[in-house]
Amino acid sequence: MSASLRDCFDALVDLRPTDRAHALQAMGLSAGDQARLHALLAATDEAPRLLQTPAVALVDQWRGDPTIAEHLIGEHVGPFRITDWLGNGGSSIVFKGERDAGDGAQIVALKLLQTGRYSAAARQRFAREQAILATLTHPNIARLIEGGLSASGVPYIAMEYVEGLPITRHAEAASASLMERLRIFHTLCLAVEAAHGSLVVHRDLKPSNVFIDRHGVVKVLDFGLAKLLDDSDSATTHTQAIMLTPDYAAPEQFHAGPVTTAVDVYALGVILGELLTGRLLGRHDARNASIAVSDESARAVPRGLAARRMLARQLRGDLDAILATALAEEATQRYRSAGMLAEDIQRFLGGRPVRAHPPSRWYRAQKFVRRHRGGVMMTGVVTLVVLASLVISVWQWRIARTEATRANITRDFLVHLFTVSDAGMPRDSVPTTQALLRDAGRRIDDELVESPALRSEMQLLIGNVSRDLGLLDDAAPLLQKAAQSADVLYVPGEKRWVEAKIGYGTYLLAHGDYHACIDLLSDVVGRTPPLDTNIDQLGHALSLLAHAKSVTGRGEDAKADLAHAHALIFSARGEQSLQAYKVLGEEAEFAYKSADYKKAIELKRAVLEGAIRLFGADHAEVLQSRYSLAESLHRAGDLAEAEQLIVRCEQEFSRYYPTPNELLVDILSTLGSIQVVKGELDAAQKTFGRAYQLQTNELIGSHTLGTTLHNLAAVAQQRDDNEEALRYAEMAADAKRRLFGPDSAEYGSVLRLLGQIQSDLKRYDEAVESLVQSSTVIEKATSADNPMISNNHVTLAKIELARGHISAAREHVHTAIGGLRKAYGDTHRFSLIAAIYAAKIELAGGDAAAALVALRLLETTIRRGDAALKKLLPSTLESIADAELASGNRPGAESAWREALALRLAAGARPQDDAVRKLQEHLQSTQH
Amino acid sequence: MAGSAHEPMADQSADTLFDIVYDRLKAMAGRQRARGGSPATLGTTELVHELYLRMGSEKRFGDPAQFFAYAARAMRHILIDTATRKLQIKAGGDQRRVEMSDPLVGVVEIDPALALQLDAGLRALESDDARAAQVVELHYFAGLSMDQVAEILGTSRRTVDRDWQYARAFLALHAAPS
Repeated sequence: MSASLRDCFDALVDLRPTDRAHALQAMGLSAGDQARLHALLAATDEAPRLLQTPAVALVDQWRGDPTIAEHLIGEHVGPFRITDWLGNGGSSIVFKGERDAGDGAQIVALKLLQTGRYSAAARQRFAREQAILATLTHPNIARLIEGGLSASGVPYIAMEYVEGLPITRHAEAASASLMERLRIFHTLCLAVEAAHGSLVVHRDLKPSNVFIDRHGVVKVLDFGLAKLLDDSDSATTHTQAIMLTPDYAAPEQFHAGPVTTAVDVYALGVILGELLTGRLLGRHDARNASIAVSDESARAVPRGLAARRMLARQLRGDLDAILATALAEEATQRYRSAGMLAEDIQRFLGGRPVRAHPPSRWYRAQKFVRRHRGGVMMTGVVTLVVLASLVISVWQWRIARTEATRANITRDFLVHLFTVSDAGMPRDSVPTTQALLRDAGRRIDDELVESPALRSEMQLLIGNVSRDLGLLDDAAPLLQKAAQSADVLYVPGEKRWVEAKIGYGTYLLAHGDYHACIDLLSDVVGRTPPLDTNIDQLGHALSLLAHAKSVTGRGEDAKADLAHAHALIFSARGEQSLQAYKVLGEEAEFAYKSADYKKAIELKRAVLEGAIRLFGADHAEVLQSRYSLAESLHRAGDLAEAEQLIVRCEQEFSRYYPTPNELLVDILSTLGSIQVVKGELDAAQKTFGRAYQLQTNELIGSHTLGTTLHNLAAVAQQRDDNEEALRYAEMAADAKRRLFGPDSAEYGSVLRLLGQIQSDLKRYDEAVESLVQSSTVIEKATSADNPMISNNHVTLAKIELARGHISAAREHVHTAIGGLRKAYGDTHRFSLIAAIYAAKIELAGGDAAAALVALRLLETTIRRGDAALKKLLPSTLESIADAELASGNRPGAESAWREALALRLAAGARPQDDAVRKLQEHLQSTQH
Repeated sequence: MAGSAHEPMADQSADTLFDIVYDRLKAMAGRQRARGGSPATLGTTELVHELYLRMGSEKRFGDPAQFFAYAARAMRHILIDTATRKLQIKAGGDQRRVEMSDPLVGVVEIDPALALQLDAGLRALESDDARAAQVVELHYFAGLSMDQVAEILGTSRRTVDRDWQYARAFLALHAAPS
């Protein structure tokens, strides 16, 4: 058969290429033979490289000639005397050299460069490079001592002489354990990173350039030398040849690609692979270290490491991923720096999750982003976040389960999804994140029919991502299906079962279906025994449950659930963990909901710090934490910091989210509330109006509609538009009772506002009913110390005063003052308002003198206070006028009235407003 | 044909003869400098002919064909051994040049791994087309001209040229990553 092929070759080789095809066809060969023949004919143009070079010349070249080197011993090069021959490099001979240095001989490694004569330009470049290298001082980098030209014009470099063993041989000789090897390697990475910081790339890292000296110190040799030699070479020879060590050279070095720090990262990867497996990973071997090491036919594992199987197990997962990332074919897929590689090694040593990820997936994700640049522009960071979370989730599953097949199917599904979405799509209709997710959700049923478990996982994954992006309608069916199929696929209490339930539970919470959420999660918690494998999920479920319970007014239950979660997670995972961060967030939220603002602020500052630490500064989680802190600060009365934070949240919102969602409504609500307190009522009305608009258009069914209505009512009330305030407040009460339940703090708080408005409208009976009910609900939902209850007492006192029930009024107001001072301190505006009422009541009770003293004191405090506090001045002055009048000091009263009127008008009050009319009447009556 | 008859490993005396040729060639290589011949055999031709002048007349070799077969095989071994030793890295010696844009040896260093690759390719060629493999040995490793190769193999110059062409394509294909 081969003979016939040879005959065919002879018959065809002299034909013109165009005629060959026909002739070849006519020969009637098998497809395989045809292909082989075709390849042979094509190869006639390129003789093997070796055959172009005479055999003798090759022998000559490879054999080298040590005798030349030996002749040089004893010679002087610069200030050094050559004492020994150490070896030959690619383009240099290395000697041991010494010179007198005061208290003894300085020993150096002396490199003589075999580069022929130097041009003036090359000499300058040599000097420049050498100067840069001389500045590179690091305890783990062998120092360049000096360089120059010998008397005969040969360039030389003197380096710190290191006596010891190359890193791999040292590890072998010391029988170093896995951890010891990693620690040495970590030091090496930091040294390389330091050099990179000085803009020096090694370009030729390999074990023979990384020594462990006699004191056990890592020393990197020849840093930057490759460049120095290369530059000088190119000036003296006319070849395109590049110096490199093939086993350790990054792929791009073979193609004369740009030499960046990434080539050192690659070489570090090869060295790490060699340290951990005894083999050269990368080009020659499977990139997967754990697979390489389990190969029985391969050489023995390095000394000091565990036996083959055990070692494979140790490498599988994180270390495989670290190696794969360092050894990625494309420079851009590798660790960005040696420092990041070092960090991952440190993480591994510390038992923390590593950041490495299989490059192929990142690569694909990046490619996807590149392809969809148009679409991505619209959604910006969000798409990246989505992709990152998909990719990372998928990869974490792979790590967690090591079910390679399934992970591959999952990955293929995602890749397929992105690829097909791209196919033939017109440029202007590249898909948005939302469209991609929707598409993904739809395809799960069609394309993953044969794997119910995988289908369920993908539903959960896509559902969770959609939900977290605020795409609740898209998320609902996916998460519901995933939660249902979990009962069939998994054992109740098992991690994956809990995860599926949590996915749906979180949706229910986000959607405001609190009771369904509580039912679901109570069942989950009841059926999940705390085990090491499911503790995170159990903690998460408890936190969610507590959240749902606290919203619906079951404060004590929620507190118990949270304490349970806290105890479980902090002891199992430590206080810096992501899981602890989540529990902390829930506790902060609970403190906030219980109006324990001081504690809430403290916890929320910790949460914000945690978010930045765990997610990085540019993460939606940070936006949420910042908002949350602002909200607490606002409630605690720290308006300046609250406003600063909340404005930042509003400005940055669209960087994190593609479409409006509940968080934006929350941000607007808080911003509006701050504007209210600052007296910017028009701005506040606009802000709340925006939120209301969102909730009646884009976010229909929003569970914070009640809150927005509440706020609109409050603004209307402040603007003295009591009819409109009442209308909004009734709508708000209705919405809140429906959404949060009749025992919720939310409902209690809206009743409070309703009562105040009713009181302003002099509907005293309705007002008292609303306020008493409000206090009852609030106390039940939170605690008896809740300052809202005290504020209710203020309003009740005001009502009783208006009705002439002095003693009832006095009782209410003193209860209120006690509670408010406890909650806010003596000079807080709530405490002062209550005190003003107390004075008014005394005045009404006939003790004008006592009232006047009290009011003048309050006036002083208020005048000294901030803008928010000064808003109390008109009503204080009005009370003072009343007291002065009752004390017989009419001029005193008049001057107080005059100032009050001026202040009210300056604050935007209209002439027809009650308060203004009343003041004008007073002043007119005095003129008569 | 000539192929199996000249197999040097066949008997003890041949082994000894081979060793002698090997040692002599090895000692002479390195002192040899380019002074003629084709680009592919520059130096090799000189070397082998010099050795033939010294040893060829000795009774131990049956005929010139046998001597050159030994010489070619010896040269091939020398090349492989040198390359292997070069590949056994010693301090600093593991850095090499790749890319061979300049045919002048000594300026551009050639990857010794290519020698091992060529050896493997030749072994494959031996079982595919033994005569073509012999042409490579005699021309490349023993430095014989194509006419001399034809004469020793008792075939036409045209056939030898064709064999050389086929061998080169075969080896190139073998070296190419599949």
